[in-house]
Amino acid sequence: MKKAPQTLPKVSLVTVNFNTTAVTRELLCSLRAQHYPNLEIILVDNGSKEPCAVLAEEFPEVIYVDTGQNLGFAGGNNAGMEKATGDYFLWLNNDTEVAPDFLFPLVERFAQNPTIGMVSPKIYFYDAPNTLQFAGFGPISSISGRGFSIGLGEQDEGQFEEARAISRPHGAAMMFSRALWEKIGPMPEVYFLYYEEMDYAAIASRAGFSIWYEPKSRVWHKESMSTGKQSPLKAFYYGRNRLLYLRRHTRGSKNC
Amino acid sequence: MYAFYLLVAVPKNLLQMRKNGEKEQAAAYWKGVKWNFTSAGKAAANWQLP
Repeated sequence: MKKAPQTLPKVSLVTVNFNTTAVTRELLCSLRAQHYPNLEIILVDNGSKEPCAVLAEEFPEVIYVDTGQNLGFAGGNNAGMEKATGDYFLWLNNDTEVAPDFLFPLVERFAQNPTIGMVSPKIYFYDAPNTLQFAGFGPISSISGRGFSIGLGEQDEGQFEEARAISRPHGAAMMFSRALWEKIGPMPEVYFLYYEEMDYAAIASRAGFSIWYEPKSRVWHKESMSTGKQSPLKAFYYGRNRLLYLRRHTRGSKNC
Repeated sequence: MYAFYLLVAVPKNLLQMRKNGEKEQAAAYWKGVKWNFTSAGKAAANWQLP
C-alpha cells in the first residue's frame, strides 16, 4: 500500500536544458504522468541560445532557473540545487523519459540502509525500449581509467533484477540524499563535461556512502545506441577528463 | 604513475581515431590530454577535493 503524500520524503528533481527545448518538453510531459506525490521539479537553462523560459509558462509547477551561461553538467545542476528543498535530489538528464512509478523504488532503496548515498535506476535506450543501457557499473580501473558497463546493449530478460551496490551512478539519472549533499558538498565543476559523476562517486565513497543500482525504477535515455563518430568536443573532454580523474583519484596503481 | 594510460591507452585511442578517419577528433583528444599538463590542468588535480 502506498503511503500518504505527507509521509513520503520530498524529492527535488533537477534537469538541465541546453538548446534542446523540445526534448525537455517531452521529459516534462513524462514527469506529469508520474505518480510520486511529493516532488518539486527544477528546470535549469544552462545558457541556451534561446532559453527555455517558455516551458516555465507551459509547466507552471516547474521552478525555473536561468544561469545565463553554460556552466557545464555539474555547474548547471549545482545551480538548480540552490532552489532545491527536498530530502532527496534526483539529477535527471533532459533527454530521458520515465516510468510513471519510477520514483518510489529509488526513495524506498534509501530507506533500506542509511549508508546509501546515491541510487541510479535501470536505464534503457529510448529507441530500443527493451535494450539496456545501464544496469550498474563495475569499478574504474586505476590503471586504464575505464570501467565496464553492466548490461549495456543486452535485451532485458530479467537478468538484472537484483538491487546491488555499484561503483558509481549513471550521470543520466542519479538520486542522492540530503545527508550526502551536506557532507560532501556540490559536484566538482572542474570537468565541465563527462567524468564528473565518477569523481563525485569517488568522493562519496571515501566519505562512507554506498552507491546502488535499483532495477525496479526505470528510465529511458534518448542517447543513440550506435556510438558512431564522436564530435571533437566530446573527444576533447574524454581525453582531458579521463586523465584528470586518474590524477585526482589514484595514487600509483591504486585508487585513493 | 599513469604510465599505462599515457603509453598504451592514449596511443591506442589516437591510432583508432586516425584509422577511422577521425582526424579532428584525434587532434581534439590529444589537446584534451595535453591540457592536463598546463597550469590550469595542474591546478584542477586537487580542486574542490575535500
